[in-house]
Formats: sequence, structure tokens, C-alpha cells
Amino acid sequence: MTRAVAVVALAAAIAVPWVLQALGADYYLGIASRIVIFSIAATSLNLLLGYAGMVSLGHAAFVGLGAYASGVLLAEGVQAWPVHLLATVLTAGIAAAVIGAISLRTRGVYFIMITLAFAQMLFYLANSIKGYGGDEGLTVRTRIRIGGDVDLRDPRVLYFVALAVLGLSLWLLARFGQSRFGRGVQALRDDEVRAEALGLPVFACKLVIFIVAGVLAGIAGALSVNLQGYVSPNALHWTQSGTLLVMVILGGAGSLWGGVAGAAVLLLLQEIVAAHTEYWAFWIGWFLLAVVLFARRGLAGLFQRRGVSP
Amino acid sequence: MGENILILAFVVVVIGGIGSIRGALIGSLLVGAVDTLGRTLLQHGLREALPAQWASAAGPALASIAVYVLMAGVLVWRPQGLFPVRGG
Repeated sequence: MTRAVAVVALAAAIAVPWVLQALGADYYLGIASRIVIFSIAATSLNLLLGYAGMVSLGHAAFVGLGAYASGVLLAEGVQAWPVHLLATVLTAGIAAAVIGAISLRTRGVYFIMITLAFAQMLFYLANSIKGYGGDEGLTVRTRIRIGGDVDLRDPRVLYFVALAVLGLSLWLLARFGQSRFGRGVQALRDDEVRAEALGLPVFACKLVIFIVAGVLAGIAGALSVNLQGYVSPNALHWTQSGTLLVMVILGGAGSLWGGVAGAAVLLLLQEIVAAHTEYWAFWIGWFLLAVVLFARRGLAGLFQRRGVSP
Repeated sequence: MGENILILAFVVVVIGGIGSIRGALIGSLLVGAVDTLGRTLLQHGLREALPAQWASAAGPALASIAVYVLMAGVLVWRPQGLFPVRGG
């Protein structure tokens, strides 16, 4: 059942560029890519929040770090994709390891605030790096080259690369949810003391999840700078982390499709409502309230039978 | 819409320890002092140590970061804030 849904969703996502071309609406491919990239970032936060129970208000910092890693390399004229991948993974991974090792000493609201603190430090750091745009942001003219003449400037190439990353991460997340390690992580989300009493290395498990989520967010950031050709310190601002949190909670924290559903619905709504009124945030706020009040397990939860674990 | 105050108020409460009135008072004094002193003194201090060009770039950034460094430091030292509330 779930597999059939996944195959249909994948086929539909692959068909998007041709459908848009047939409709003469190529412009919307950029929006589709944006949705896919935000889906990757939201899925990484879903891993952290929904599966491991760590509410982080600093997740945008890793998205921003990945974006700056790729953006700075492009500004220096490096286009080879392995270099970008390595730089993004290392930058986001090392930052996540350091921030995680310090932050995971705390729990609950204290964890939220300490992740926020680190994100704000990186935000002001990005603001002060005058060599790479400072508070005006960094504009890049080139894109990552995949091989030969193919680079991410072609909207379709970018879309399919992003889609491949999203598909791979969803597949891994589904495998992870069923695995021994995944079940252990979900157990510590539900009751940390009990998991520790059962002999689970709680701190190590949480740190690994924190790093993996950070790296995936970094990759989303690297893709976004290649989509927009621009990265500014605002990518690291805590309101961005808030947006990602809203996406995950809207979509359904802890469900496999939660991040994707939340990112797609929120971005499409923004796009549609903003076309009609300047005060789009007002209307979307009502929608979010309704979802939180009446669909407590998020949009993905609406499609699951009650009593079945996500 | 008041985000700056919101975040700073959160920082104060977390530094002091959630649920602790005494913590909120001490925390607010600490945050206010660090933020204000950071903005005035850091730039002068950096000018002594670094070339003027670097100091004028790093000064404001470090001053904005100071409050967050304070919070991270306090939470590393005392994960429940300065005045943890028992049973809270």
C-alpha cells in the first residue's frame, strides 16, 4: 500500500517538467524545485523532531551553512560537484557535531534555546563576512557542474538532482524507521529514561541523528543556492528555522511524508494566497491554527488510520 | 513585531532557569549588562588588538553574538539554568 503510494508520487514528480512544458508554464518549474528543496530540509528536521524528539530552533543554520559552503566555492570558481558535496557535508557535519555535542547536554526548552543560540551566532557571523557579501548576501553567477557541459543552471537538471536527493533520503528514512537503530531512536523519543535503562547509548544515538539531519539540511542549502544563485544571512535566521518547524508540524512530525507534505502545502499556499492578497500571512495563520487544532498529527496523519503507529 | 524583545526575553528566562523569578531578575541584569557593555567596549578593545578595518567589521558582529555566547555558556555549565526550579 505505502509502496504503491510512493511509486505514484515518484512518477508524478518525475512527470512535472513535461506537464509544465505542455501547459506552457515553465516558470513554475522553479517553484517545483523550491518545493523539492524545502522538502529535503523539512524531511531532515522531521528526522530530528519527529523520529528522535529533538525540537531544534536552529536547523536553518545548517541549511545556511550548506548554502554558504557551495556559494563560496562557486564564487571562487570551483564547479566540480564532488568538491561541493564534500565541502557541504563536511561544513554542515562538523558544525552539527560540535553544536550537537554541546547542546545535547540540555533537554526540552533549554535544547530549543541553545540550538537557537548557536544559529544566531552563525547568523551574525555570516552578516560580518564582508568578503562574501556580508549582510547584502552573496550572488553567484556559475552553478555546480555535474559532468561535461551539464550544470545546474538548466532548471530541469536541478529539479531532477533535487528530486533524486529527496527520493534517496525518503527511502533511507523509511528503511531507518524499520531498522533496529531506528526503533531504538523512536524508543528514546518516547521515554528517554527507559531507553537508557534498557542499555541504549542515548547520547550517541541523539548525536548521530543530529549530525545526519544537519548534513541533509546542508545539502538542501547547497541546492537552494544553485537554484536561486543567491544566498544571504537571512537563510540562517531563526525565522527560517521556524518556517521549517511549521512545515514539519503541519505535515505531520514522525510520519515519513510529513516533511514533504508540509513543505508542499505551505509553499503552494503561499504562492496562491500571495497572488491574491498582500496579507497572505494572515490567512495562512488561520489555516495553520485549524490544522494544529483539528488534525493533531498533521496532514499526513489525516491519511492514516487511527491507532496505527506512523 | 517585537521579535527582538521576544527572543531576548526567552534568553533571559532560560539563563535564569525556567520558572524561577529570581533567575529572571538576575538573568535580565546579566543579559542587559553583557549586551550593552559588548556594544560599547568590544569595539574599543578590538581596535587595540586588531587593524582598524577588521575591528570595525568584527566589533558589531561580536557584540550581537555576546548574548548568545553567554546563554550557551551558562547552559553548558548549568543545563537547567542558573537557578533551577525543583520539581519543575
